[in-house]
Amino acid sequence: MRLVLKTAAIVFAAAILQGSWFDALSLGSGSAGLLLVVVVSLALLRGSVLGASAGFAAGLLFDISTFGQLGLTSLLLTLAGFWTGRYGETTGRDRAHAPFLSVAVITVLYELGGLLVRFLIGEPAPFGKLVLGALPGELLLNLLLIAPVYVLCRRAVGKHGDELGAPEVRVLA
Amino acid sequence: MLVLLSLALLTVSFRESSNGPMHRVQGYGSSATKPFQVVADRVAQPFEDGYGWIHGMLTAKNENKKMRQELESLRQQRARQKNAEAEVTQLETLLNYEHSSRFPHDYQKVNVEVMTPATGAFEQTIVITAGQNRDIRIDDPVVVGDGLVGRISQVGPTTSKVTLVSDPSFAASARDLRTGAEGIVRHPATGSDVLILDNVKTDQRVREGDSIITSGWRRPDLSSLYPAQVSIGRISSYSRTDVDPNIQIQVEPTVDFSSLEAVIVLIPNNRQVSGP
Repeated sequence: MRLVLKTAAIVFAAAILQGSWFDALSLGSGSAGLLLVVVVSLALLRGSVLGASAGFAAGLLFDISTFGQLGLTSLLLTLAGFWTGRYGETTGRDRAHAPFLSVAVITVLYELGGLLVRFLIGEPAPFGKLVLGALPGELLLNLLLIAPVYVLCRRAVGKHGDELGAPEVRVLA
Repeated sequence: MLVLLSLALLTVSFRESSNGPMHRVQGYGSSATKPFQVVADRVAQPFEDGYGWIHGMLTAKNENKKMRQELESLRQQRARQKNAEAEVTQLETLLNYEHSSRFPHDYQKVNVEVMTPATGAFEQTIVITAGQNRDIRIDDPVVVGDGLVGRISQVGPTTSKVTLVSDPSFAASARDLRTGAEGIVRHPATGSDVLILDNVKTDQRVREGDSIITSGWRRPDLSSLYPAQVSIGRISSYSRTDVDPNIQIQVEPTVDFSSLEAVIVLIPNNRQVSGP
């Protein structure tokens, strides 16, 4: 229960800050995606179920507060949270580079996914503007954000398995 | 499960009208988060001011020189315009000429703060801190001192969404101030940062630097959403081809959409008489 409350507080704060501070923090035409970085961090730390739930809640809150297309950010962040969580539970487990790799890949997939959904619902989807204009700046800013955000999230919600207190077991044979 | 829920939300919100229940819920939700956004903005303000001060100091000398040149040119322009205005007023009185809505005479101004700045590569929108509580309605024009910002596209109880001129879904009838050439200003499908002035025939003699303003037309049954003579931008380049009957005109917007802190929503005077 404490974990859910802590996660909800982090997601709420991130959605508010994304709509006020971080949308204004831009490089080229790309702006920093604090919400995406927070979802990636939570998913890596606490697994796919919490990652997907946090992604859904974060997206819904963001779409509501900014009058966005309801469901669009939720869909993309749910998938982002789930996939990152699965990566964290399997291949990326205990890898130091996992947060950086995850945020880089997910930023690209998130933007391309948004482009695809917009194209499918008949809204303007400028591929060139995204790839040449927004994506490089957003990728760089998200990579700069991931380290401090990951550390803060780890302090707040801990890492999956930390609470067990069991030492790591390695098969040497 | 969550993915299906997101898809359901997306489908329902996409299909319903802007007055539908989902959009109303969104309006209430946006109003509920407004105090938190305002607090976050207040906290960020000193840092933004500090950055602005340093940036201003570094660019002040160049800007001062540019402003002096611009001032000189505007003084000359003002003198010419004053003569022309007097002449026009005289002729209009003689002809009993009837205008379309004009800014600022035919509108009430609602000055509002920007809550969420323009974001993302796709949608160019901002959220402002006023809604139904200030009698703001969908399609009300939004301006700043520099020119046209956009139009209201969604209204909540205390917040509203503004679709900017730089959004791909935006279009407004416009004309060249010098030649009177009429066209439609919109965002190009290529996703460029400049606007285009479409539907201007090749026989029109436009020039780089010409001011583009809203045309604010009016017919007996309908009229333009935007008042006449609000600045949109300046022609940055143009080209003619043999195969296209229209000139390809690119327009640099006068408003810097990335640094909007406050805007003015224009409420037509006549609506308050006839409105509910």
